[in-house]
Amino acid sequence: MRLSGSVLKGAAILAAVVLLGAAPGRADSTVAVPEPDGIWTGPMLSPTPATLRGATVLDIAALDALMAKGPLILDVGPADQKPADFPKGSLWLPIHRSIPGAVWMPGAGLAPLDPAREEAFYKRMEELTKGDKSTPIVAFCHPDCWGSWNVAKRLVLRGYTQVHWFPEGIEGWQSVRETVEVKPDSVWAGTWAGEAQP
Amino acid sequence: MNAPSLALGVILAAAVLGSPAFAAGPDDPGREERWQNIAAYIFEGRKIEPTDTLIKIEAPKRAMDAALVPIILTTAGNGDIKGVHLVIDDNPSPYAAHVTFGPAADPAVLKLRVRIDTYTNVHAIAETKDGRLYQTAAFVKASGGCSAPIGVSDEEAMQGMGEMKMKFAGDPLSGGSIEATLMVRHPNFSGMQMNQITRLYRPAHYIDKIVVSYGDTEVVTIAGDISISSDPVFNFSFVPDGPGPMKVVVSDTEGGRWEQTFEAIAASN
Amino acid sequence: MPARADSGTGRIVASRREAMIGGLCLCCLPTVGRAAASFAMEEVGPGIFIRRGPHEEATPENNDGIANIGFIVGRDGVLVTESGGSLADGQWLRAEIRKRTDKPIRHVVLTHGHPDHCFGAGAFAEDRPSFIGHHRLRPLLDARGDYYRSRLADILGDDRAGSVVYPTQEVAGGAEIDLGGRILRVTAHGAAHTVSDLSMLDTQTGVLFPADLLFVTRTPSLDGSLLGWLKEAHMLGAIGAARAVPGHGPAMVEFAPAMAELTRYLSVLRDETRKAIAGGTPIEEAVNTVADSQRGNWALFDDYNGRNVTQAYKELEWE
Repeated sequence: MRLSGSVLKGAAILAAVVLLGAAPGRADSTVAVPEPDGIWTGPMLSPTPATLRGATVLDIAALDALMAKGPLILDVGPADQKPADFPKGSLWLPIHRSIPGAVWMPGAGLAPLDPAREEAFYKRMEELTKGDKSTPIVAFCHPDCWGSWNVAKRLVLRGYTQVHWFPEGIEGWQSVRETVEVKPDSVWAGTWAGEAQP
Repeated sequence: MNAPSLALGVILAAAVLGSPAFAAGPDDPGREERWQNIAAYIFEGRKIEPTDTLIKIEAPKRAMDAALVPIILTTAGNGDIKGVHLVIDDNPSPYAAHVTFGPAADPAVLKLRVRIDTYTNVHAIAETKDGRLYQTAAFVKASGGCSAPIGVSDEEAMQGMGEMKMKFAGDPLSGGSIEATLMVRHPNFSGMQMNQITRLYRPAHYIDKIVVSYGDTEVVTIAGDISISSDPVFNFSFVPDGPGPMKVVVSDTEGGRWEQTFEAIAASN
Repeated sequence: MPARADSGTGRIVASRREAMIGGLCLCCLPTVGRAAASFAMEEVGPGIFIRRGPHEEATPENNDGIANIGFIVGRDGVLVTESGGSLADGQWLRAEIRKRTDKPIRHVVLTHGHPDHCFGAGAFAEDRPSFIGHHRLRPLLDARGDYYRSRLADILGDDRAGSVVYPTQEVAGGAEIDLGGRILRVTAHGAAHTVSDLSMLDTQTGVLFPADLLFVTRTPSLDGSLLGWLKEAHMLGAIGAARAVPGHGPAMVEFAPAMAELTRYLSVLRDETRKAIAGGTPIEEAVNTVADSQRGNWALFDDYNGRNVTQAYKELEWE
């Protein structure tokens, strides 16, 4: 593991502070979180580690630089949950904005994950990378959200060799770059058929 | 997409200055198309004219707290305004509020606090008495306002639900308008907030209607949804005719109903 | 956010803190080996050992978001005053205790419900101490989905994680802990910094442990009640303690002047927020102007003051 890019600055900080400020239970000082040995099964929204063994942690500058290489961008942020009892006739129009070119697989970072679904994830990743485990991949979701950490870890454990994790998430990206609407990856979405997507 | 590598100093400066080079596009065609679709749905295809005079919207360019974004709507037009609609384009439930003005209202200023889920245009649409629609917009940078986890237990969040407070500013004897601030304690659960331990979503439970009258005359009716912040605060103006009192009736989606009267004539700050 | 000058010397505050806020804690990599060089446990009073935060270069002028962890030794046992912001810190602390005494670690105080003040507690699971917390701590941890229960389950096994995370001894009002001829008086406060604040007085030395009811140099963060905090501060002042171990800041301070500084900030916050509300200043303008005069006295002011103003405004507009 190496830490690419340099210390966070400006936009990323502001984005993270805005979110951290709105997040409950925010720390009064640093929270140093060790990497779990396997996949994190605790609450999805909580402070994340600074590292991910086997992957490269990116800041916004490093991600920007990496974009030139055309990596596979994997967004695992959750989809908006339609509230139960949402009034009929009221307009419900969720939109998910992401990094241009991203593949969106909501729930791929959840743990525990149904084994069949997990298999479907690996299969889909194989398709997307055309079987090349050295494809550069960037996983992200939101700050202080374990989904992307888990997904990156899963890929590392599966033998992918150029896995990157972008902890600042869409908040970090949208503070300096435009986002575009993306729809869930149709193959991945198919595995949730009949259930509410996470 | 090939993005040029950027010096950190440039990112820093741009973020600080909000440089147009990095502005997250309020004008992009995707956003415009979504707005058109939403407008067509809400207003059933009626024509909406852009305006920069009839109604204005003030919102922070970058919100400090996405779950509490203050919006100020000002209208001109000498009693021509029947109501205003607020649309937060990229919220999953974009139609955030519909305020109608009664005979006792002065629609000149309306303030409310909303939740914003992602960087978005916020549209304010004024409806005139002859049924025409006019819109203006502001772009707000905020994230996660609708799904931000509730920071306290549900019990604590629901404490004092329905309690109200009003403040008034202005001289009731002048014959002009009085500015009223209405505050209601209510968690306004959006239904999108997840309990991390159970991984279940706390069901939506929010104020959907507020009716304010002065004496027997309607002042405002506010229809709100999950995009209204918890413990809502609304600010509106009215012209008091007679002794009042001001009566507020609040109802929520779980059958909650609270009614309270306030003396406006004391006009305390 | 522009680089900020710090409070006194005019030097630019290192962006290390900024890195931490972003979640990339470059300095807190949890390896015990790194610990030795940067930490120093100080005996600040008889049997009172405190380590002021994980960053040696922090100075009173350049305080960088540290929490003070430590322990008190009595005749019969040890009480941990604050277990720290990481499991590794907690483990380091435990090792430091064992360097100095074999006495059983009987109590661990969970001073309030912010994750960085609880995370080290897991290091003491094997000692089976009582974990002392405010009676409102448990629901706060539940509501915020505090993650360390699961985290510790991963490390320690499910059977032990439960008793570690939540307080096993809940305090409402007050409680006394006897370490053997050394009585510690614990007080559960009304909503102040958070709704779950505990403070402690060592009756043997008269040293006060206000935890995060006292911030020194680092901008206080308001996550409970502004008026409550002012009230609790006043109450603490009445105890008459000469010296205190703050939640953030130097390991030991003279209590009265330090609390006066904090109270001044909170009072300005209160008075200017009230003025803004009365004058009809909307909340988004208030966050830019209220308490601005205090910027020079506090580190990380821009990170926390705006949010404090929002909280204060929401609280005081109901007056």
